[in-house]
Amino acid sequence: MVTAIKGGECSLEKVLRVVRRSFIGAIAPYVAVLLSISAYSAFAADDDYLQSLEAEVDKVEHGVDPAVSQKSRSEMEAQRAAFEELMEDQYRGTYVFYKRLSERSKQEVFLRYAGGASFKDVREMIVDRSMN
Amino acid sequence: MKMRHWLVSALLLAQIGFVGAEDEVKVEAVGDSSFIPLVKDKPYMFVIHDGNSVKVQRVQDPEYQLQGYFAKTARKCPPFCIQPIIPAPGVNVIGEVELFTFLETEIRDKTGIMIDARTPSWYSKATIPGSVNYPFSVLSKDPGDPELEEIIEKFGAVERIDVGFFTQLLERWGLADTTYLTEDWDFRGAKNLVLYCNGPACGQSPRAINGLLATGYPADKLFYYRGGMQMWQLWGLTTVVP
Repeated sequence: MVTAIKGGECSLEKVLRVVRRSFIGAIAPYVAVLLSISAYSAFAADDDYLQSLEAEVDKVEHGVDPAVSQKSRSEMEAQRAAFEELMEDQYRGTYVFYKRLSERSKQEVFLRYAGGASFKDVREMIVDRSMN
Repeated sequence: MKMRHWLVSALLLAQIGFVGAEDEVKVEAVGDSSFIPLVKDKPYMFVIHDGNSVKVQRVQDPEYQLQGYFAKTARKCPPFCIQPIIPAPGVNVIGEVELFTFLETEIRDKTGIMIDARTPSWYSKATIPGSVNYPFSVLSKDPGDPELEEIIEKFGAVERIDVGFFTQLLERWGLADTTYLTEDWDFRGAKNLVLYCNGPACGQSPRAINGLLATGYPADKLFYYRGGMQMWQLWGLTTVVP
């Protein structure tokens, strides 16, 4: 304010500008402190949540659930039998075609399914193998 | 000769047509009436998890009761408070039956991803077959975070880099279709995502969902399985240890 008057150009505009600047200058540190506090509290809240989660996870028993599928159990043969059973139950027509395939083709069909192919793809493959 | 070939083909096609119609008729679930299926007419299903096929079914022991951590009825709140059904406006909420369908169709057809949004230490205990682990702590990072951007790209979104001036104008004026487009991302090819965590009192997947929404990921491509690990195991459904 004083600087503006000293400059000799004491226009209202200049005075307002200086007042604005000094006001912003005055509150800037407080705003910065408030922002950093809120940012810190957000991080702290996240950290607390993560800490609570990590403390909680220790309470979970590992693999005691009978519904847990152990990898050793999921052997290929058992899976193929289950796959055939499912096809026989739900896609009987396709299963009729499948049964007529050679062992090699059957294995290929199963591997396609086990690899993530949809039943639509599997059915197309079976029809294709049946016709060729 | 040609005539004979046509006749054989016609007969085969007729047989296939007949078979196709027959396949529509769902056969009653496994012969044993005591067998507990996933849902009516669906005794079990196969899900690909980490490259292996896993048979998903329910525990067949009629006396089985859930025990351990997921049988607990109380947890400290906060932070483990009961979550609202809808984590954010526009996000789809699903249950187990819809999840079965998602696993059988979208996961196999690679149009969808099922995300276990828990931290790795939780995921390592056990998870739902077919899931991949993207922790909420990453999915809720700042939208400009490179790690998050890389993941968003894996979900099928494409970063919009050189958008022409006129395209920008047309979009701004509402003259171009901007469905699934944001300033930074093209979500038209983005996959449908199912997110879950520990269950109805778990805040990890809602946080992940809100993180994805902050990037502009379309809400209608997000599906919240609120039941999570707790409900999955309450129904005696198969889990896998990664």
